[in-house]
Amino acid sequence: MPGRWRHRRAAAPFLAALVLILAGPGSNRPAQGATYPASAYTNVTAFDTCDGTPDTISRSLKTLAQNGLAGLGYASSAFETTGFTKARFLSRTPADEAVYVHSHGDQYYGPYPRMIQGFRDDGGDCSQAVVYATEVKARRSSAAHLVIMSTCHLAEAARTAGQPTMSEAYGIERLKSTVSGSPRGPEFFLSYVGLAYTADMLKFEGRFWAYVGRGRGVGDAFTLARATAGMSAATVPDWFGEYVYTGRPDGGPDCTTCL
Amino acid sequence: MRSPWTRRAATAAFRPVLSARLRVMAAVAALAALGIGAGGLRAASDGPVGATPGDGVAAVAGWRAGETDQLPLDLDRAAAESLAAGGVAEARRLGLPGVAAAASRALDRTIRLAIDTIELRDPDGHAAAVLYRDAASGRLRSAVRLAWTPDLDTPRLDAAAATRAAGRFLAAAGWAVPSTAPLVSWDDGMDAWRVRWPRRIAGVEAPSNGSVAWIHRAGQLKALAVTESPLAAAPAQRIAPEAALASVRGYMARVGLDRMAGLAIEAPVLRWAEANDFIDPGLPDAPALELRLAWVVHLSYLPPGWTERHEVELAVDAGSGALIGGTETA
Repeated sequence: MPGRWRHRRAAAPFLAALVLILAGPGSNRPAQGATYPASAYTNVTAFDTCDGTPDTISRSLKTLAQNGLAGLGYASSAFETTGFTKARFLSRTPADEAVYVHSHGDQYYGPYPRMIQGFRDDGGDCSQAVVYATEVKARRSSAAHLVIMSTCHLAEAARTAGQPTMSEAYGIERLKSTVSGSPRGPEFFLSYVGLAYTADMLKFEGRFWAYVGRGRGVGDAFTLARATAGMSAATVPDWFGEYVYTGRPDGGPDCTTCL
Repeated sequence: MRSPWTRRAATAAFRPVLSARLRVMAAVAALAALGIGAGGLRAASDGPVGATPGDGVAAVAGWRAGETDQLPLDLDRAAAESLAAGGVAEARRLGLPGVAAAASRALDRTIRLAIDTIELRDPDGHAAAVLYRDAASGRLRSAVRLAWTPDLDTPRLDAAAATRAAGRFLAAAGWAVPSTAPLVSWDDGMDAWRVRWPRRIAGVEAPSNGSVAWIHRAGQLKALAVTESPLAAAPAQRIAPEAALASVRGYMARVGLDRMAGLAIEAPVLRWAEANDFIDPGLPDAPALELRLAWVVHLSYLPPGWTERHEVELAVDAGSGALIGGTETA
């Protein structure tokens, strides 16, 4: 399609522009040398105590995410059980440049008949408050760089018209640079459509972080993980944002296999 | 001088690293015994490596999150060049771009197999496509197009045409096209048609295995993946589904699942299933190499305080009646 901005072909000018934006005097990003906060949350209690099955996948996914975010240059903190409360999550929401959540996600009534995307906190017990996309959106003033909702349903469109999806709550439109016809900027959202099974999520996310760790851009990492993870047909990941984005908060060093 | 407490703390912190290193060393030793990584693989006439149980690769310790997922293996220059040349030829058959290629070999601990990676690049040196082959058999496991050109998006294909294209690519990669009807759907994440043939062995499905092709709107290959895990020997005597259900009910009583509200248990279904750490958290994150014939039981229930149903699948070995793994919804 003539004139379309597409991955790889336009990656060089995009990344150059990204560096200028991040370094420019008008930028509201932290200056060089600043830290880029990121949070990785995992709901251990829900998949262990509450549902009656023993679980190690929650912590494994958190380990992968925390290491992956740190490798991209974020100051990555991780929270689980009593450390992963709704209050803590929302208190960190305004500053986080990257977020990872592994939990139950759905479109919850808030209240009926309005449905809002959200996920459950951990809190160390099974009461597990829902964190709604509307609550996230109210606390964000700029787009996040990298958001991964390792949950069911949060890559879906809103079921109630006018309600923000979780990606939109973080300032990431439900658009792909590869099909929208325009660059999306340094942002990437990843989640799942419908029900997602934890054994598949571990396979897929393990691959995703491994490819990112080897210098692939997040778009290529998604594609390669999708094609090599060996998931069952039931688990379907999706993404929005910029295909050629490195996932890094500082724009560099450039992805070694994107350009 | 460190206090004893400090030494203990340091030792405790070091233990996982040491344990991981020992597992890695065992993996390399197992591969070396097979000739993988020390001058290449055995000749094909020697029989497949890594495709049958008990050949050594199966004994390689599985990956755990936080550990390295790949261990580079030696590949001499002549073998690398041969692999790269073969990769370019294979890419041509699949219509994938790339004018030059580099090859490498590694033990992939997430699947417990030695894998050859062949990366194709465009004339400017950008990644254009990647091929992954089973190092032992030389067969293609995955092929992925990374380069984009405008012609890929010209809308031409419907689901039926995408299915025909997928079959052609599967055949071009040297795999038999299953005679069964595939599952065809549009995959937003891949921006392509997904055509999937689940693997069936004597009529029994292996949900984690199968042949999948993602086809661009205009008919070109976006990605191809064929997963055919080795199979454990089928049990000489198969337990009845009622016995599998009894095993599941026993487990449910032990962990308290039987007390969940709204509990619904579906009839057991025979599957070739992956054994994993769902029942035994002490096992590695990587599932077992071999698939096992199992009765799979699907449950759903409402954990306390929840409004949405939770779904769980449990796999019961069809011979021993032991629970060997499972999964649950997030």
